[in-house]
Amino acid sequence: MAETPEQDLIAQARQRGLTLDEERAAALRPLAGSLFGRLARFGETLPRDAPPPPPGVLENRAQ
Amino acid sequence: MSDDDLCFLSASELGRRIARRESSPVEVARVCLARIERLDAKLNAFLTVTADRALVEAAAAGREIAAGKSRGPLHGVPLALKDLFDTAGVRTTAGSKILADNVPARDAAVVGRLRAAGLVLLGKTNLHEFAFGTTSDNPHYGPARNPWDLERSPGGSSGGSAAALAAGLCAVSPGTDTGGSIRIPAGACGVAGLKPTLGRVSRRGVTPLAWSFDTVGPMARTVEDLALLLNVIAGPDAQDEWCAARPAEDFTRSLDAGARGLTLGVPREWFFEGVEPGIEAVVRGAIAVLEREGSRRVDVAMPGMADAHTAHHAILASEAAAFHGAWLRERPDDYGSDVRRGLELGQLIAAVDYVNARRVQAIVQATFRAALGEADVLVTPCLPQAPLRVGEPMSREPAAAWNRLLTPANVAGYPAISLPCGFDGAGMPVGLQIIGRPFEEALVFRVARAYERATEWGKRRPPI
Repeated sequence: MAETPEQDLIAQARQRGLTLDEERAAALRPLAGSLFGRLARFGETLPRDAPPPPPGVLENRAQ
Repeated sequence: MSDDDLCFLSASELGRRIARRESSPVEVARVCLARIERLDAKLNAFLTVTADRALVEAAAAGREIAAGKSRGPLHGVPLALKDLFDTAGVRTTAGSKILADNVPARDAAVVGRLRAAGLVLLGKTNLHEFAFGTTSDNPHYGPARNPWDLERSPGGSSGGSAAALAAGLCAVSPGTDTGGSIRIPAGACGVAGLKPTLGRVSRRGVTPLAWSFDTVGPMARTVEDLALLLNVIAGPDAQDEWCAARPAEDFTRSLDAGARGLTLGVPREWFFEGVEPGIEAVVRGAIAVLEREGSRRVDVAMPGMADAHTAHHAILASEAAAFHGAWLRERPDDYGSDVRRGLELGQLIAAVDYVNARRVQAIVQATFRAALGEADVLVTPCLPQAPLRVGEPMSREPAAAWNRLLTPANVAGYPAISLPCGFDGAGMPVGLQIIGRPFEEALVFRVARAYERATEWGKRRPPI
C-alpha cells in the first residue's frame, strides 16, 4: 500500500511503464485528485441502464 | 489599393479580384509573404514559411486563370495550414520536438482538396504542442502571440492560424478542434472559426489528439469565407471511416437569408456562469442584435454541462494517452511539461471511468437534442474571460478552464462557430458561439452572417 497519494500515483504510473518522480507526481496529484473524484461520482450517479452513444448517432439523428 | 488593404481583404473578395485579374496570385502571395517577413518576428504565428513554393504555386494559379481554367472561388487565394496537417515534402511538426524532423510523403486529405481548389500555401502555423492545450504557448518553438496584445496568448491550439488571420498574414487557415481549438483562438483573436459536425470533414493525414472528438474546420475573417472553405474541405472520404458518407453541399446557399423567423436558444445554465461581466454584456448585446434582425429568443434548459466538461477531459486525456503511449514511455523528456502531465494523467484513468464518461456523453447528446428541439440554434459566449497572458498556466478544472463553454459541443459532436461580436473593457476581442444541429452548418452560417451583416466588428484591425 502506498504511503502517500504521490507514491500511489508513482506506483500506478510504473504499472503503465511510465517513470514518475516525486516532483512530477506532486504536480500531477491535484489535477488527478480532482478529475478522479468527479469521475468516481459518475459511477455513483449514472442510471444503471444508461449506455454510451450508439454508433453513428449523429448521422441517424440528422436523417 | 495599398498592400495592407490587400492583405485584409476577405478570401472571397480576393478570389473575385484575382478572377477579374485585378490582382495576380503572385502579387497577393508576395504581399502576404512580405507582411509575414515584417510581422512574424513579433507574432511567431508561423513555424515554417514556404515562400519559394508559394510563389511557384501562385504563378501556376495565375497561368491557369489567364487560360480561363478556374478552380473555383478561392483559386489563387493565400492559405496557411496549422502544422498538424501532413504536407507532402514540407516539415510537419505537430508543434512537437518528437516530430521536429517529420517530412510526410503524402498530403492530408484536406490539403489535397485545398490544392485541387487552387489555394496557395504560404506556410505552416504554430500551435499548442500536439494540439493538446489552449494557449499555443509552445515550449519548443516559442509562444504564438495575440496581434491585439502581444503580451497575451492568441488561444489554442490553432493559435498561429488565428494570429495570422487577425494580422492579415493569410486569407484562410483550416484548423482542428477537439476541445475548442478552433473556437478559442478565433474568439481570442477576433476572427471566425467553425467546428463542423463530427465526421463532416476527413481527418486522414491529421495528427490525432482524441479520435472521439477530433474535427477539422475552417478559420477565416468572414462567415462567407468559412462557408467557401468548408465547401472545399467537407465531404466523404472512402479512406477515413470516421468521415460521414454525406454528399458535398453548398454551404453558401442560405448565407444571406437573414435571421428573421429563426429561434435562438439561450441556455439557462452553465454558459453564462462565471463569465466576465464585460464579456457577458457584449454577448447579450449580440443576441439583442439578432433579435432586432427578426429572431425570437427562448431560454432553454442545458443541465449537466459540468459533467460534460469532465467527461470531455477524461475521454480526451485517455485517447491522447493511448496515441502517445509509446512516445511517452520512450521519450518523456521530449514533451513540454503541461502536455506531458496531461498525457500521464490520461494513462492513469481507469477503463471503467472512460466508459462512464462515454455514458455521460450520451446524456449530453440527449440534452443538446432537446434544446435544439426548442430552438434552431443555441447562442452563448465563446470564452468566459479575456485571453490569458503569455506564460499564464491554463486550467483544466470545470469551473476555471478557458474552454469550458466550448467542450460541450465537442462532447455532443454538434457544429459550433465563434465569430467576433465586440471588444471587452481591455480592448480584447469577444467571440459569440452559435451551435447548430448535426450537419446543419449552413443554418449556423446563416445566423452568423445575419449578425455579421448587421455589425462591423469583424472589420477592425489589430494595432500591430
